[in-house]
Amino acid sequence: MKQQIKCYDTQACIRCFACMINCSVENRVRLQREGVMNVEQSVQATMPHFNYLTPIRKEIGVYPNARQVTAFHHCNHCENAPCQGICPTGAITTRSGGEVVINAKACIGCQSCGDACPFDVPVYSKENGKAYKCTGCYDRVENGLKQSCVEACPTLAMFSGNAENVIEEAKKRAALYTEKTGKKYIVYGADKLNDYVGHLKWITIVEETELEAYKLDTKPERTLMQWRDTAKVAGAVMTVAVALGTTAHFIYWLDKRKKKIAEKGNSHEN
Amino acid sequence: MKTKTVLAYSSLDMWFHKHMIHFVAFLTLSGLPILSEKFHFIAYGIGHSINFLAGDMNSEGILASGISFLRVIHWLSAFTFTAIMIPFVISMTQKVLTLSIWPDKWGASAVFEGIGEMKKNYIDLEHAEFGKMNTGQKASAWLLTVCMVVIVISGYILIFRSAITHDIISIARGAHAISFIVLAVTLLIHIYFATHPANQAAYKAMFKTGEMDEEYVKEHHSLWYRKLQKL
Repeated sequence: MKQQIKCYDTQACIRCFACMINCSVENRVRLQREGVMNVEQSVQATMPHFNYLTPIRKEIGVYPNARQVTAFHHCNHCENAPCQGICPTGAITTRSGGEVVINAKACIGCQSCGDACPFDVPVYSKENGKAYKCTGCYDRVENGLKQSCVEACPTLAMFSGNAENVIEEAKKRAALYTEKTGKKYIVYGADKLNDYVGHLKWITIVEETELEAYKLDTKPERTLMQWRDTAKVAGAVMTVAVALGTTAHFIYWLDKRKKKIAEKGNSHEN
Repeated sequence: MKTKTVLAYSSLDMWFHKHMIHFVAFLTLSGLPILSEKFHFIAYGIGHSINFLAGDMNSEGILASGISFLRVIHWLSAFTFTAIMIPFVISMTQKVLTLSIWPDKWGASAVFEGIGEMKKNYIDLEHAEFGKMNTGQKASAWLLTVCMVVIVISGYILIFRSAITHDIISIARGAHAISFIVLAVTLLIHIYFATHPANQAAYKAMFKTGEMDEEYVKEHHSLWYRKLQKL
């Protein structure tokens, strides 16, 4: 399957939050489908760990130019998924479409994924001791359906598909908004952000000066976690160096000692 | 005739050192599979046994079972190790100014001089002027102490994380791993020199009697011997 990405167009969003509602509905229907819960249970239980898509509404600017913006807190399905790299049980995998998914059966709730994620995405459920985050609706996508959030959007502010097509459409829209408004619009996440996360599979069309308002981090980092990865490599190299160095020293020491003893013997004889 | 001896390690030093070895081994073996997938074989071995006993041979659960079990061992070892550390830390704090970890002389030239003495002893196999500890031992003692402190603090942050901010937890997880890696490499060097035939007397003192022959101290730790004579 080709790499799938989603795009959020901040200009086309009407803040109806149908995406958020459909995400929640899909997660509950999924539980019903899998026989984990019946209809009543799945509708009544709050299950905050299933809120994969959290809109953060904010007012920016000063009256009369004040206006509302909606930032979304969600998994970006990073190309280099730091959560996957750190998961000690291999519970996090990347599907063929690029969706980064937590396998609940293999998750032990160590919360390493949350510690490594520069976007603070994985949520730990105290109810069952497991971590949760957006699955990119990989089950729907792999069966020819759109992601539930995209499916619900009435204004095509969220759209998805093959990476090349979506990025092309997003760049077209950004160019159009730039032309019409005279303000520079960019496609956040389409270009590689850094080596820690790589490209994102959730991109956003946003005015360049409003990146912060939309909580879009252009330098997503976890410095010490990155050093941790470097230290692992350095540790392996140093261990080999110590093993070789100590072995070499021991052989040298034995030889030198033998010579010293022989020298002493000779001097006594003389 | 019984030779004259010098007390090198107190019974508390020996007791703590012996148990520290057990706990560091437990903590390392249980922590390595969590740190790196290169050591997953340890978790697989344990997880396989657990799942076999539980009658669940689902392949995706084997590693999870192993890591879960090792995490419990890691935490239990950490709690117990910290508990036995308390009397040792109190004892060390009381006599901190008289410990051998402080430099005999200060400054960069003293460091180079110390390295030169180590070269004399381990490379040229000649008589070197050592105190109770040489420069390398002092440096590694400080490094190990700093790493231990970071590991303990960051470890407890990771265990009791609910009241701590995400940024601090993330720093703690990175610091825990980095300080362990530095500690592990330093320990390998420490183990090499500790078990080296040239240091047999110190090894015997640490693990058996706590004492060294006075003649040996006079010859191999001349600075320490002179210090003892002044007391």
